[in-house]
Amino acid sequence: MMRIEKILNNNVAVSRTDDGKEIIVMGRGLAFRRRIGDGIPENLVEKVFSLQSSEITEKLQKLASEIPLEHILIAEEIIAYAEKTYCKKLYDGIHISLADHISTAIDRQHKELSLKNPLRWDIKRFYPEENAIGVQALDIIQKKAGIRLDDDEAAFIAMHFVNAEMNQNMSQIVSMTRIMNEILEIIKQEPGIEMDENSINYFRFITHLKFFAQRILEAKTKDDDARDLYDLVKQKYSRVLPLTEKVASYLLERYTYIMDLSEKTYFTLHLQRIMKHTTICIASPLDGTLVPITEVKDEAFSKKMMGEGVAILPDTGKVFAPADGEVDTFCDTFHAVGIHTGTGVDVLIHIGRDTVKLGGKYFTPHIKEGDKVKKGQLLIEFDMKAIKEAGYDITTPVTVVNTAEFSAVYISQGSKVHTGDTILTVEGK
Amino acid sequence: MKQIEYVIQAETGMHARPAGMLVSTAGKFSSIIKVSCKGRQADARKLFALMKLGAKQNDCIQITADGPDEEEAAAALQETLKAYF
Repeated sequence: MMRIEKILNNNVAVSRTDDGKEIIVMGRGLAFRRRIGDGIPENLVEKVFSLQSSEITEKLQKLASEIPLEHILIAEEIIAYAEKTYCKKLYDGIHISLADHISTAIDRQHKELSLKNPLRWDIKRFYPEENAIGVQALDIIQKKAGIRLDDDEAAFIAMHFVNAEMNQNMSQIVSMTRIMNEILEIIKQEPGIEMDENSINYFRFITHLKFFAQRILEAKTKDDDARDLYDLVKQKYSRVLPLTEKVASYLLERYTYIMDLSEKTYFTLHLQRIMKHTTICIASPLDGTLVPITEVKDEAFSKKMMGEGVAILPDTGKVFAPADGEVDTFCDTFHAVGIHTGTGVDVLIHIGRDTVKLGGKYFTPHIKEGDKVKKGQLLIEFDMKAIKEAGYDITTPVTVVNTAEFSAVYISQGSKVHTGDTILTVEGK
Repeated sequence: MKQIEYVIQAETGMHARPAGMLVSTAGKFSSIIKVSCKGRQADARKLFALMKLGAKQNDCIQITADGPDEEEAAAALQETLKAYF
């Protein structure tokens, strides 16, 4: 039988296990009219605390003498629920912080004071499991204490669980959440990127972000050399990497945090996974008639060595930008132009066959290498009649030269096309 | 690492089509293949990067292949150069 070593109040006593470990025993009236050395009747014991650190044991003893037993037991029921339902591994500090918090929150509610939680929606978004625990906690509190706390309280309780999982203090959680928000905002602003917030990968990304934010706050860098993996990611996910770089430069400016190669690598991998299979439309740069790429009389194109695509037999001698982007490469003979779209597709427009031999004659450029262009902007004019008379085939292939970086390129069907009509639909990986 | 040097014979230099041939050949190997010309370097799998080298007739280009199949890659690239450059 457990014996009383110290009485904190009628409901709480300190005792010791058979192997000499200090424990705190709670139950209504278990120390009432008893003295040090007396046995504790087992039927009165509602909760036994056996904590790892003596510091926490001391804190709990202090708390137990200050707040009602009921509040400690409510906190314990919530903690047990979290451990059982979500298999949470929690630091012992939660026994103190949650009980203390619930007690204050109940007092506040009695005084009809409520505290707004500015992070309520972020908590719900970033920590869905902890938020669910918080919601369940409101039910437990209502059942046990007969009082319904505000929904904002669910988020506060959730924050205690986030804390207990990461062994952090509250202000750190607030900073972490802010950083996570800032990073997500940067990502969301990126055109062509859509996140599937209900996917398991999104949840994983958020978890990654949580620990990443923690590392930022602690200014921790991993010093493992991730050069090889980074190079691989750089090559494979060239579409996502610029976004990682954007986040990195933001973090550098705002927090003087240097995002190292291994952080960049893992961030990019996560980012890649959360992206929906985006589709990117490439518009016709010309008015004319569609010709299957396999019928182009140039095997570099017909055998798709220049990537998947379609050709156009032009009706007019004007070439317009097929999408928003940048003039990545522009031959000094003006017969071919490579546009890198803002969405990562490299589109080659090759006006006619063998027209490189014209050395620029009959072509009028309206852009230069490096120019930013808008979809539908005039790029090049060419004298269709003169080129044909010089003996050239003017069939103009439009191809996605980095086809391998995408999961599919779909070719629009039909015959006549106008500038701006979608001719290719590129599906992201 | 294998290295090849080649002086471009074709009148029109390394324009879109021959560059595409090079990309297509390079894509068959797992070695890292780089093309340099006039102090600039490009990944042999990136068509736009190759085109931007602006390699003309009589310019010398250097190709390096580094990886498990560098021997085979170098031989195949040599063939592509002869046929289209």
